[in-house]
Amino acid sequence: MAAVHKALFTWFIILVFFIIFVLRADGKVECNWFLIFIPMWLFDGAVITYIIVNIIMHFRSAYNPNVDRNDMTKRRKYALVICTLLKLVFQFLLCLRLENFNISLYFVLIPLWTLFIAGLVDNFCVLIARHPYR
Amino acid sequence: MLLRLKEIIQWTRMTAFELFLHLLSILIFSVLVAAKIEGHLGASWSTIFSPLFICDGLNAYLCLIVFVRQYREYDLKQASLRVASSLAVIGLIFTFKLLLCQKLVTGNLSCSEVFAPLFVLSKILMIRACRMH
Repeated sequence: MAAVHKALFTWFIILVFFIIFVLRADGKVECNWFLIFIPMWLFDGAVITYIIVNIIMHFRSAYNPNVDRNDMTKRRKYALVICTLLKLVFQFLLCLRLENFNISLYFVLIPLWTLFIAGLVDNFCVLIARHPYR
Repeated sequence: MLLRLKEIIQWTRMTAFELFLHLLSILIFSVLVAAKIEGHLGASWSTIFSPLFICDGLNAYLCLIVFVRQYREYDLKQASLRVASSLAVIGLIFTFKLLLCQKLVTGNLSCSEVFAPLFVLSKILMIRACRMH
């Protein structure tokens, strides 16, 4: 999948999500928050499928057992699957909270904080690395 | 997760350091929001939003530094185009945060008004996505 396709897919999903979110927040539509998050569920499903297909292709490739042609290791791909699962858990807990379930906001945000800390550490490693971009 | 860091940088035309600042400010902001909503922090909404505003200020400052260096080493046209596009994006993000803060303080803005800068930003991002290699 080319970078332009990935960027346009991400842009489209986020735009649709924002439009539905604004309509729900303004009270123009009255439906369940889990339905409002449908674009995000679809996006996460597509991301997990993409990464799993990438991992399978990595196992079957004869190029280099450690890294693929994008210089991504298997461990990094497993970490990406975990990050996507953390995002899914955060969205699920947020929907429960918005549907007036009695959950502390700290518990809702713990997966997001974990994700952000992982992103910050990864970004910091890129900033101090000799060959920066992955 | 879908896009690699290199592709995100190419798409948004932000540097890795700018993305780092955004991530850090949102992390601090989310901690403050959680503490405020759960009643463990009595600060005003303007104080809660201050990490986000500081991040935008730092990003604008970095843009100006890049502009000056680019102007001295290359030419004015290239430097002006870069600084204008970067400042437009920072301005839109800052306006969104400011409107969100106003909505939480006064409550007399609708969500569509608050999200208007983000919709404009999405158009810019779409054009940038189409121009990616």
